[in-house]
Amino acid sequence: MTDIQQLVPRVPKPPMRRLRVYAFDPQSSVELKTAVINDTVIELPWETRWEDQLEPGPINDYLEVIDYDPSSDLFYAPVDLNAPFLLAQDGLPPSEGCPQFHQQMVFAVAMRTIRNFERALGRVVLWAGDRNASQDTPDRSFTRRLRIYPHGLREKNAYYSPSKRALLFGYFKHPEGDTASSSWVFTCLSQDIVAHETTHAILHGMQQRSIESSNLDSLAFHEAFADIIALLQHFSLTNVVRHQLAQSKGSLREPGLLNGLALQFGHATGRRGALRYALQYLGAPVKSAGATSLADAKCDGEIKPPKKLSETFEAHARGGFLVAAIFDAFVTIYEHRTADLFRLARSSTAPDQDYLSAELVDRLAAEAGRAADQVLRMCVRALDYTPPVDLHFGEYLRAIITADTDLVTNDPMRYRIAFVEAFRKRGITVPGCISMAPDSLLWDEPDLSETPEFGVAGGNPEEGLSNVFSELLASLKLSISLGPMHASSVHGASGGGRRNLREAAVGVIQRNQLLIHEWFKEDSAFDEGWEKLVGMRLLAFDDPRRKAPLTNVPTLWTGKANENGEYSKVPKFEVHSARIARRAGPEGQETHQLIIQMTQKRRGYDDPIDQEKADAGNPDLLARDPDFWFRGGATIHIDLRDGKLIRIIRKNVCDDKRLAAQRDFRTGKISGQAIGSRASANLEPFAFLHRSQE
Amino acid sequence: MTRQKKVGPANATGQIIVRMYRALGAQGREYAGYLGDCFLIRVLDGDKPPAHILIDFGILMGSAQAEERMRQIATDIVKTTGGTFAADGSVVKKGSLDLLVITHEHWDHISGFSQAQDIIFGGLTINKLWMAWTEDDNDDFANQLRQDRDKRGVALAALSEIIQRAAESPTPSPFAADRQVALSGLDAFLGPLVASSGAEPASSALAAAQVKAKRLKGRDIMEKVKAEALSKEFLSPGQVVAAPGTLKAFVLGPPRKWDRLKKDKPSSGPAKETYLDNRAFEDILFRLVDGEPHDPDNDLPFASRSHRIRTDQVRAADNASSAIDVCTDNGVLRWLNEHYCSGTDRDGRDQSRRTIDSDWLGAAGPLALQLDSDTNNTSLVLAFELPDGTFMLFPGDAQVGNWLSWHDQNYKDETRELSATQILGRVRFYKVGHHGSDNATIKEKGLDLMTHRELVAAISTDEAFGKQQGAKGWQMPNPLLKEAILAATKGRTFRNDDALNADYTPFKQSLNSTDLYLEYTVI
Repeated sequence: MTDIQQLVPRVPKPPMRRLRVYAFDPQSSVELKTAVINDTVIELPWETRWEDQLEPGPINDYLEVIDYDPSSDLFYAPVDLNAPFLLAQDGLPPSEGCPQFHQQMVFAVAMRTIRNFERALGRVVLWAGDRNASQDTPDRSFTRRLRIYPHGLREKNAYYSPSKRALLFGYFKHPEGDTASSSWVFTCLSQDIVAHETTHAILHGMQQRSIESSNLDSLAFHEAFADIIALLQHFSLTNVVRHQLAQSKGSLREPGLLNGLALQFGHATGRRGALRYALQYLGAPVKSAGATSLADAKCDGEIKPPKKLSETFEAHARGGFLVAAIFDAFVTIYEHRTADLFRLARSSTAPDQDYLSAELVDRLAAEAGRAADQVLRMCVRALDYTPPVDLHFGEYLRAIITADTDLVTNDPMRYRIAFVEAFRKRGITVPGCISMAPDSLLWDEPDLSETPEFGVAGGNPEEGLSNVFSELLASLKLSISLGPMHASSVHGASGGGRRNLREAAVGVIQRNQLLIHEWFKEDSAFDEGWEKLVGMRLLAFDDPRRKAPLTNVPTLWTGKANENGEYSKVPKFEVHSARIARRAGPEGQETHQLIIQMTQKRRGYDDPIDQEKADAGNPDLLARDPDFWFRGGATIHIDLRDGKLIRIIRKNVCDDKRLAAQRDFRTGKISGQAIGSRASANLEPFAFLHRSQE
Repeated sequence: MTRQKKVGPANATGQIIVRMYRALGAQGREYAGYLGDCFLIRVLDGDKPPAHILIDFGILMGSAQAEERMRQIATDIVKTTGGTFAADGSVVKKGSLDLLVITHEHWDHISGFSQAQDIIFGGLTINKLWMAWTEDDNDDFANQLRQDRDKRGVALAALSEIIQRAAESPTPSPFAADRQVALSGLDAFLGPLVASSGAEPASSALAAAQVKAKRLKGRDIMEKVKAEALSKEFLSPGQVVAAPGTLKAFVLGPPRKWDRLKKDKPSSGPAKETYLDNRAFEDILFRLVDGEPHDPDNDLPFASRSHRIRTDQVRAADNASSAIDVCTDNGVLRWLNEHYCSGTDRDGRDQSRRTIDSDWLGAAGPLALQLDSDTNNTSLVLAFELPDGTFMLFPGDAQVGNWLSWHDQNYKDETRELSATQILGRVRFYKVGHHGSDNATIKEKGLDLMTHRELVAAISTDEAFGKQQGAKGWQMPNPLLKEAILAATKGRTFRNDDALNADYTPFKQSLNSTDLYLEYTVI
């Protein structure tokens, strides 16, 4: 009998699952110029052995699409992408009138965005946890699947909801009704909008504090980054890029499909073209008669690009500067890479030929795709090089440069210079750096001159630090264990005898987070030195070594009881992530790093006098909720090849200047827009951000 | 160096005193200010009987002890205008109000006429009423504007009530939301709804059926005031009219141009003005108000009937944990029930906080905001000229478009023709627009032109209370504007939420502070 089984031919799993989508959005399908390229296919890797199977919804390890439409009081049935008829034709054909196609497209685009991040980050994408979940439930630190509601809203809006860990997409009636291509516009059918919102969710999963608005740049960065990802993903649709480059004669600077975002949405909301253009703020600044602040108005409603970053406060507009800078860097890189192709082509064509040869367009499209991919990876990698809280645009530039230097030591194509130049042109400055040369923008190595005490543990402070730290490293688990199954299945019962690597990875991270937290919490001889290094408070309250008063950080009772049965109080802090990244560079270089992010919060008050009192320990103020939480923290990089602590990127929690800046930002001294004092404002930061644009 | 104190001829001929009511005296004190407008101008001139002008009489809906406070103020108005009360509170002699100005139909400007109607109408003779042309029943354009506003106002006020009811009801409803979040608290300006016919039965099962017969109480108030006043006049921009106490009123707004009326914010984005119409949402909202059933062809995005699975069907489906086959109708219902309605997933993880039943109501926010701005822009804007040629500016809650329109015409009386710039240059008392919010005082063509050395500003606000409104909190005043006004007035700005013992030295004795009002002697 056993022989019979071998008679059945084994068909291996296909490598890719192909799903049909709109290349841009439904509008491009009804315009002759773009219809030929608008139907395209996204290829997603077939679920691997260690992933759950794709279920109706679609639902997989990462996403769950649930199609509830509350404003219509309706549900739509889930699509089953494994149905044979759908497998045979790459999923449902593009159609606005079929909600199941909407589910398919939103799933395909979101998955593609996720895969792009994973490739650049060198690890799996994980979703943020539920802050309201009770302690010790697995969902508190990670959510298993991001939810997607393709028809959750009835308005010109789509957003990521951090509190629900869900993407909500809206739909609305086209204002021009029946004259336009269709009477309804669905945001879940726009590649750009889906990619944009998915990026918000990924970013939140990486840096849970990034959704807090602590300065003008923080939410603007979220918006800009999401736009950048959506834009750069355009260039992986090779046939589209080819078509567009042929039309623009190889230029990427003309407004078009490739550098515009959400064309149909833009039209439906009364714009002449796309919702946003990458190079919107690139043109020569338009001078207007000094009308800036308060409610001054220009009656004509014309497009007047903001003149300066320093005068722009709205998050999308401000983010536009960052988008323009990065896109400009990308275009510069593309132009640099293709200059020789143009020269070669020019020498062999007739002088009056005004189109590019098909071969040249193919090569240009390939170069554009490659450059976009590299820039996208540079941008994503840099996320691991940002401070965990209170990010500024300039610091993101430093992160990009440092991350790239770590992986690609030399820079033969001058990518970094292209970035620096593009940022400088947009007026994005880097305070605290002596020059804008790439090498002076690198994040500094840990400065051990102030902490000579580490010398005790080794020959010099540097070795001492390594010795001290290796004690922690030795206890960490640096990969998932491949032992018997039950070891890794604690965090998910759905495995059913299979190993789900994603959940195993979550288990490893959670364990490491806990160990790191314990290690820093434990009293050690080097706590004073660590305080200086990471810019956080670690010494116990009653520790005799404490010199500076504790700046009213909430506390944690911990440690061993002394003879009186009292526990010593240690400042509270969080270890947000402890993730292992393996990355490969273009020349086969590899990095293997452990990235730890820790944060600490401190009570902040709108009134500087209250602040002083609270910092001095005024019991009345400590008894009530503070006006806001001021956060500090550090991102620590450890090279896992030799265990050396290579870098600490920190925001000091004791930095009173930074605190004052955040207070000014909160009370609206800078922008004239105060941040809400009610808690509910923070529930849906992106919904408000997007709506207030209207 | 000592500067000559102003004891000029102005003082000899009379005094002009502006009283900004705040009524902090009522018991309990759950508040530190007063968000709403109520200004009484007194013109004293030797032995002649004093003249009295009342500008607006309201407090924001939701303010603590609103009724007690408004009644306290009403009593003071009657007494100040010469009325007297008997010991039991009944009116012995009516006060005489020379002029009542109502800037616009917002609850925080008119609520008192409802909360203290017996005192104000029973104790006061209103000799003359001024309203903006937008309230004139004989003006076609005004009627059209009002109907449009009414429709949306009733819809939003109704939505506000429905949300409140849904929040109290134990059964799930697509309208269960945080009212403050959904409507940004702006329904507080609209005021409550009342049954319009009076024959409405008190209880009705269906919310929609109830709404149809309702209208805003604010509209009733406007009608009532029009009926009570002995004479009334609807003013248009460009007019210069005589006001009691030998003052002259220059009418600056509201504009008659549509684009000015619709303009609430500085243009900044492309195509800003066309961005706000959300037909899909409004359709549903209006149908709700009119009590009509859903119109599937118009309201629903997908044509085919097979795509429509009603929510109640899904909620009723059982979600047995056995394998679910989505190829069957029953399977689909169970699948949806398991994935959306059940509070936990298959591994028992809590999913209950991830539902989106009410998130779509957030779309009402922009709608409420636009209606609010549209109404604010119908504010009657008056600049009162004083005997010495200076002005007092009362812009109501005028927003950007209204402000800009002041410069669209010149202002002529028998002898002179003044431009808006000239008038603004002579403003010495400025009632800050819309409680100090950012789009109700413009810079270049507004505050920057108010260059009078003695400029004083009054802000009728309760900053702390404002911050509790809406999801984000309102900024009343806006911090940038606050600084600009403090600079323009060299610190002579007084507010309803000033402490009782606030330091008013920069005003040199001309400011009188009580817990009922702040009173500034203009000249």
